[in-house]
Amino acid sequence: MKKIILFLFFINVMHSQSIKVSFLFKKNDVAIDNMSLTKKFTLYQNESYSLFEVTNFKDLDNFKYKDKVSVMKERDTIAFYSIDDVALTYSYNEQFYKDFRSGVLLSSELLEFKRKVFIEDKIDMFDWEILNEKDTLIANYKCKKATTKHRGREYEAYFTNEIANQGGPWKFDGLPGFILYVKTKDNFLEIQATEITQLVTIDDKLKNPFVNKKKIPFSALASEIIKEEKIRFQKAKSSATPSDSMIFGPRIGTIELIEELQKERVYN
Amino acid sequence: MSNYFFRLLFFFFYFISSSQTVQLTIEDEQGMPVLVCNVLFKEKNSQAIAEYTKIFDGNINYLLKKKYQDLELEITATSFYSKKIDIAAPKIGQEYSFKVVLRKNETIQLQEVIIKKTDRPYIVKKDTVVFVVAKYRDGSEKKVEDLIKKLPGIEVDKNGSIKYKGKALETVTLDGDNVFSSNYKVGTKNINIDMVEQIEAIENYTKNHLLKGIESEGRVALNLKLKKGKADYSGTVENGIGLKEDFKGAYYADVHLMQISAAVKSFTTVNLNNIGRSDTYFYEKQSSKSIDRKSEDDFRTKKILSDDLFYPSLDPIRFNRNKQFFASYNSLFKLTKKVSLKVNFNFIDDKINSKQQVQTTNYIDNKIFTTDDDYSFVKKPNVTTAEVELRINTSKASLLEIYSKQYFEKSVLVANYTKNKEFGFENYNETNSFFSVNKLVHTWKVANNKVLQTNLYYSFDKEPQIFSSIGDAVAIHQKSTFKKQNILFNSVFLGKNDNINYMIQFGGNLTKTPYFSANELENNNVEFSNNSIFNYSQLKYRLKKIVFTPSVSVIKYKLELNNNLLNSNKESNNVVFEPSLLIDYRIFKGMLQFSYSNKQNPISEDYIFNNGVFVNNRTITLNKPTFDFQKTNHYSLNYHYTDLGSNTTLSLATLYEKSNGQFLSSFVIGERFSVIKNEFFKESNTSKGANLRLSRFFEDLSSTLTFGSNWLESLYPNFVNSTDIRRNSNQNFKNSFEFRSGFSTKVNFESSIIHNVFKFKSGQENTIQSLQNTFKVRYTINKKSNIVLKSDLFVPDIKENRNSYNFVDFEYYLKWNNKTNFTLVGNNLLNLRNFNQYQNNDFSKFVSQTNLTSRFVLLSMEYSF
Repeated sequence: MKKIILFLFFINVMHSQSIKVSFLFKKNDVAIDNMSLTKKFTLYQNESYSLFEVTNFKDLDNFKYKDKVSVMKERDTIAFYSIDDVALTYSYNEQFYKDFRSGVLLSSELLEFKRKVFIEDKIDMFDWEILNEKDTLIANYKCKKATTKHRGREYEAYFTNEIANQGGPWKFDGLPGFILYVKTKDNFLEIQATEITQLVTIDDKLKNPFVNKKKIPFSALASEIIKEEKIRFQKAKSSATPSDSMIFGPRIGTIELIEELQKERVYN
Repeated sequence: MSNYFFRLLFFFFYFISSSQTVQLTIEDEQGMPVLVCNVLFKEKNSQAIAEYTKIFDGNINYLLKKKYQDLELEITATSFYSKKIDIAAPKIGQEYSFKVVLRKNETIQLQEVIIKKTDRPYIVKKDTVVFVVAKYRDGSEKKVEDLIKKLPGIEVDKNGSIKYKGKALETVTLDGDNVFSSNYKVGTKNINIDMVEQIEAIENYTKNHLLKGIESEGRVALNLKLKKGKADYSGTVENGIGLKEDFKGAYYADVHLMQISAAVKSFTTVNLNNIGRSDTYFYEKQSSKSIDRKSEDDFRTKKILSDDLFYPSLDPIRFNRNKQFFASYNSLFKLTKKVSLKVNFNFIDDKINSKQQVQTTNYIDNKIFTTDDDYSFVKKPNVTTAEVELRINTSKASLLEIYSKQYFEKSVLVANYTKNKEFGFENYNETNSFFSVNKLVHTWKVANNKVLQTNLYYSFDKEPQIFSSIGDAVAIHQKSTFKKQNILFNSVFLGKNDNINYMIQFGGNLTKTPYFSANELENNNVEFSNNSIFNYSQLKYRLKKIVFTPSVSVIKYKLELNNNLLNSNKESNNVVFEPSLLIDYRIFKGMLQFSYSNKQNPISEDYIFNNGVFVNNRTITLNKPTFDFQKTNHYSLNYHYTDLGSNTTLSLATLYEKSNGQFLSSFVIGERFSVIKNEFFKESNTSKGANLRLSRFFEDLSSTLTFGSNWLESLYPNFVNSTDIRRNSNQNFKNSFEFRSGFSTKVNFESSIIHNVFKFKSGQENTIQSLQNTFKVRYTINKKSNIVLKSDLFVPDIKENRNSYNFVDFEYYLKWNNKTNFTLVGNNLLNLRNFNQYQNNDFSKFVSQTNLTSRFVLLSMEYSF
């Protein structure tokens, strides 16, 4: 038995494409430019799994206009900021986990600044079109360009098969190679790889952080958000200074746009 | 229900029978299944990827989704060579089965080693390239200028003037704010590179936000993005003391203070030194033109005296024997959201002493005679400039700019002059200049793509100079004053459509230039006025890769010259028409540019006086003024290419220029005096030139190599001691080669070789070749300290193999902690005392000598806060 285990380990080392890739994750908030920020993420990936996680979510330097941001509250896994004293935002320990063999993608979403829900998507959910263009060199890797529309935004991505056969930053995947660079056509989001390290093994990094968590499909997210909004309104109604109605504007500052939430929601 | 079942069954069978299945087994060379790979399905002719799928564990049975004429399968897997399989005219309903063995790609199989791919050192945005400072640093750079020299596409000349993509820089901004205006050298020569995180090179820069996207001049600028997290105030204090020859003290003190806050951006510097550093760049000629095509230089007049016998072609630090005090204050205040105020103040006070000697051998009319002069002087320049600019955004669509600059100079020169080793003189030169330019600019964005700008100027320049030279037998006392007063009004309308930019300008200009001089020989008292009204129209038309820019200028001149001594008055009315054409063509990833221009220039103030004026102890100049125009046709063809990835810059430039009609110099050269009389002749002058510069970073050598070649030929006529016209030619051919290593070792090198040939021909030929070789070795002792050894070799005349000069310098740098560092500098260690330079013109050869800054050793400490 011992021999077999050793042999399997050997095979694993020989074939594994374990990589660690650093990414810059730039969000340009079109509605409130002051909310624009650039975060650093690290992706750990082998042939079977990948974990994409933020490395510096509490760093004030992430914000485009750092001078206009002040920290309101900070905990281990989340930080709340006031932007120019007019808007409120937060940053938390975002993680995206992919199980390539089962095709499952897990992530989390923070609702109304407090409740975390866990989302399950399919890795293969992107309908990419690979463009028949000349290869583009990114950091000396030959990359092909592909485009897609996904949940309200149009993307262009560059991928290469010189690093890995699959994978990419954030939820992006499903191309015949590793995605090094993605941006939305409207400039809302830009993700670029900055450092690639090939490693012998990183299996310890690739444990599923969402084990034993209750997951919901992305399609159920809208109703969860509406539920939270209603709770918030109820609370406001029963507070010392009660409000008669509450309006939630179109939810446009997120990467994935939910159709039901693109209009105003008024609670009376 | 059964109906539904049959329909489903039908579709299932239809689908199976009308499509193709591909079964693949993929193994490596050991027969083990490949864990993950991808199969790309392509139409063979177009090579477009129509569909693809991922395969786990080397096995798949795949139903094709599309129909193909000729199918190509490409199986790709990281660290394996990809494999292609062709299926010619795949048949419907057919099943294709393949076993594929993938070969390991040995070049990529480095899994046991950690490979770190560094990210790119630059980011390309629309009109901007962002250079990440840390990626270009090797530890030897101290000031911004030192790093800029290493950036691809940027050239810095020996005076510190910067070009980006072949164009002269408009300004250098601090975090996007134009604190320095065109006097950007204060910033690039003084700001510590440690303070800067990124340098952005900007194309299509405009300092007026209302002109953004409409102005099409293609101006370039750099922006210094400062490191975040610095306090509002930061700066450095550097103090150095040392020893010169004969135990005389050497000193260097330098203070920089930077304030960066939301409301104020400010940079202040003070320098005190006697080791040759010169900060006179702030009052250099300013020829950068604003949108109405006017530059400060248009409002300045002339000085008549020449302070030096010659200017050595060495780095000024080698011969500038000075005692300088320099202060510069530059601030931009954002008073309100709509109003900003900029203040720039510069002051210099210096004391420079020098000994010069010039031996001249004249070859005139088959006769040879020589002159030999000694000149020993102390020069005390004292210059102050003060600039104020108020910008008021009167509304979202309009901007009012009020600008005023004052320039004061009081320079005194005291000298001993010995003519021909025989006649001694005591000289005194004094210059008291005052220049003031005041400008009111209103910019109004009439519509989204249309702007109207109105400019009003008043300027005044006065350059009084005293020249007194007292000898045993002869004494000269001369007063000379050029003045210039200018009132200028113009209105510019700029607009833009999809493919067209246009510009129409109307204006009027009233200029008065009086000149007065009095000496023992003769007097001058003239007043020249040049009044004009003008129209300038420009169209820029973009057709795919080509941009055509024709323009035309129509100017009506009214010229008037009053000679108050002769009571004579001359007047002339002229209309001139000046067309020009510019064609830009994007080709071979670079820019090819052709330009043609026709200019007609009226008499300049150099030639408005009739009677003799001393320029120095030897030279008297006078003119025969006329209102003829000098007509010049200029053609040039340039190509510029920059590739940031390989750090490659290529520029090629050729020019041809012909002037018809000009003021020709008629020389009367004697052993004691030379008289130059300038008179207009309908003779032509021709210049031809070619220029090549290629710079590239070679990864295999870890080094940057730069090759430069310049060739310039001029054909020009003159008269020398005769009324017969002489037709002369002058050629200058300069080749240079630079090498800069970026090895990961502790030792790095920098070397440059410059070979220069000056050839004059006028009947007989007269050639001088010089060579200069600079070699620098930098040894990095550890992260905190390094040593630089430098050798500067000059051979001023190769042919005659006369004197050669080897300057040896060293520098030791020690970073004590994050705030403090020490530098020990030794200059001119071999203590060379004099430098001889060999020069020529069409009738003379000169051996010019200057004394040098003596050997010095200086230890300085710099503290950053």
